[in-house]
Amino acid sequence: MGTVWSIARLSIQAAVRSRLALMLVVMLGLLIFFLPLNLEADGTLEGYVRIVLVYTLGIARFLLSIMAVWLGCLAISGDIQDRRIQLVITKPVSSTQLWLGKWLGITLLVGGLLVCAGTVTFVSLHRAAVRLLTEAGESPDGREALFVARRRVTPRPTDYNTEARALLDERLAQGLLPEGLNRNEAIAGIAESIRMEYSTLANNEYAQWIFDVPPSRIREKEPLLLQYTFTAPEIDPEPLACVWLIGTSRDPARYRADTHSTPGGVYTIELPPELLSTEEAILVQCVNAADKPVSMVFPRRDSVVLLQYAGHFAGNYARGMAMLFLHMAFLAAVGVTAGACFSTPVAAFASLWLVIMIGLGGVIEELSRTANFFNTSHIGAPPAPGFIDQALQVYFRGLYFIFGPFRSINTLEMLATNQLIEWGTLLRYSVYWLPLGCGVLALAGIWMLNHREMAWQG
Amino acid sequence: MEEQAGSMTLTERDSSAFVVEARALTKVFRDFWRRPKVRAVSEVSFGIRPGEVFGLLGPNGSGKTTTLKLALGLLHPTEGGIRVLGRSPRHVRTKARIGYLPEEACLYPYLSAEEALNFYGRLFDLNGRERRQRIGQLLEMTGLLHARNRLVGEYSKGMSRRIGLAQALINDPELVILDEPTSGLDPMGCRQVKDLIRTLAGRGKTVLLSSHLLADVEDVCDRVAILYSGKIRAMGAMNELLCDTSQCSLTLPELPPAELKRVLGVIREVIGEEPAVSHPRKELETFFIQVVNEAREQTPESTGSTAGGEVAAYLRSADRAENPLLESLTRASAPEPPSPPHVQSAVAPPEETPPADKEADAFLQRLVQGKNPEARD
Repeated sequence: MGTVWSIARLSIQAAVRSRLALMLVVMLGLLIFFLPLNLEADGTLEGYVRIVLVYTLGIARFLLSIMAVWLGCLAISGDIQDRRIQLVITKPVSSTQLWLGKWLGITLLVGGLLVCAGTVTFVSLHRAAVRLLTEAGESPDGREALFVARRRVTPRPTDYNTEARALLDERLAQGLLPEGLNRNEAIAGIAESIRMEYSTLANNEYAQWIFDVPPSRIREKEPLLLQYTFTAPEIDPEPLACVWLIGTSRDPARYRADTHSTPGGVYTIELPPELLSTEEAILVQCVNAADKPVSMVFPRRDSVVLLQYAGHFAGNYARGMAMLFLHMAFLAAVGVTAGACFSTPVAAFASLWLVIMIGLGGVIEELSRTANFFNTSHIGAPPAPGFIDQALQVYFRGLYFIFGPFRSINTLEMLATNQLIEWGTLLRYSVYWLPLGCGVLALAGIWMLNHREMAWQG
Repeated sequence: MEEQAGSMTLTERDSSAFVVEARALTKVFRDFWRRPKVRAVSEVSFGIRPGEVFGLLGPNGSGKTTTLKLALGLLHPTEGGIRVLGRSPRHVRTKARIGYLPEEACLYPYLSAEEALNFYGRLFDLNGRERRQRIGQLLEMTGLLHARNRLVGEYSKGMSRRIGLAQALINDPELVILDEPTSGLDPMGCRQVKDLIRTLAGRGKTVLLSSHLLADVEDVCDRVAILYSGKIRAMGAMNELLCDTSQCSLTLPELPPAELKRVLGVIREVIGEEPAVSHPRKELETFFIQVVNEAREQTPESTGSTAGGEVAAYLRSADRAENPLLESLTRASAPEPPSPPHVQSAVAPPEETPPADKEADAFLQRLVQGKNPEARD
């Protein structure tokens, strides 16, 4: 282990003494200290906290990700290029020790900087909250209500497929649809249309969502929040009136809230905790009460969610930082392995490609489910998938199999909206990114180091 | 000279006795499409015994460095094989017994000399105390003690070579592989390196070096292989290769004309012809070192490397006090002592003296009072 630490220490020294790393650190420092001073929120403390977290930590994450990948790429490929590796590999150093040392050094460096950036951001957020509350004439203790973590409860999923299947059979029986239709695709398309229909509220129409919240999770003194967001097909900046009825199936209007909300915004309604001390599912209904003909669209299943108190913000923030750290460690592994396989510029592009592939996990998932890549016409029966379609599907399924598990949750968005990052989530990503992601990359890198020549002609 | 053939008859020897053993070693560099581009080393076979200083000699591009890199596991042979200390050169634990000085400074430029040696020492798992001790001795030996905290990237080429040499010796290796060891060094440094090589050999270390500087190789090597275009063109012990056994030379102190005439008369009578008489010239290297040492005594301050000190204690043999010859060799900065009055047989070893010349041999024995011929003064 002494050899691994020595190489790790050398990697840190290399990064600290190189101008690139220094420049990134200076940029990071300036960003953390000065960006919050220039950010303009919506005037609320919540808005300020959200914007500071998303921008400050977002840019810090971006810079540190670049640093992790770039230093990773340079760690071995730079040494090979400058022949420095020749004096290391001719010592009693195994390829495993070399890879681990390089990776550990970069991970520790980036992790250390992430801890610094996170700590400074956390402290400055608290100080800013106290200052803003004092300026508003409120007690600084009010920030406690703001700095909490909340568990996100999404509505019970609705099965639209049964209705879609029935509708499809009816249309087929009526002879309105061609016989050779791809049944599964047709059902999926009809189900999506039904969902959109239910999610779109014209004037005086209503939609409802059912939430299963275990009673043990409802804390008596902590309010439950209903969070919602919606869009409108018409471009209209005017707030729209809605009536929210919250209760149970037996008493649907136990609590009523009248709101005026602008499309695109994220809003919360505080619900009294005693209202929901029930074992029944919670029923939420929204009525479009706008005084003009405009539709409200709740596009996603999580457009309306319940937020429960789930602990203090600090713990959640620490878990969020741990998630970011795991991501950095994975990126460093990507860079180090790419550097073990290719020269620096090629390694940088290969790393970038890998990071993009992981970032595009959602798109790849979508493509892996696509049967017809070239004939996308919805008129008439689509032709059977050809050889190229099948090959592409296999390709995208393969990509999704490889990169799918590494898709990350949006940690910063969750922190900014006080969403709980559960220990289970952290554990799951720890497994994906450390033993699985970094492990596979380490094996690839070590294999390459064992088989690659470390010198060349001349 | 059985070894002068390109491929040595290794099978006739006990291969386990070799520290480095190459058999039909071939290296072909390929292009991106895996097409053969250059045949850098072609069916090279040689064996190096423990305690031997073996030199690879050849012009630029003859395959010397490639052979060394194959011996270090940095390159993989295309055909044939090479074993170092009985194992594959890529065997990790075997590397703990090897020291390597590359042709170019491959050091981390952002580390100071002390940090660099500390790093390489850690890779050999040397404990802190031993590491500090060796680093101090090596810095002193290489004359870099005053520049120990300067970044290696700021070093001159010669200083980089010195620190490179120091890192190659930090593990007290059994086998030292030196690629162009005197390249970039001033004459003082060259002399010191050559003396160091002989010291190491005196301790039973094996040295494999490459050079295109004939004088360096001649000064330190026991055996050499001359490479050209990737093939061994000649190989053997220095004496075997260079000794002209048909002649010998005598070196005498300046004698009065009458005495000289008498000596020449004796020689003429023995050999039956007129001997050639000339005054020997001092070697430029010796003269240069003498001048610089005198200058150093007057101006001790220097921004570059200073004269190296003694060979690091851990690299010296235990019986150093009993080996004044070794001691004299390792003192690079000491001025060359004036030659004692003697006659020296330049090349011919005693056993190769023709037995027929018994009288001449007896005469020579009376006159010879100089250094051990193995000292390679």
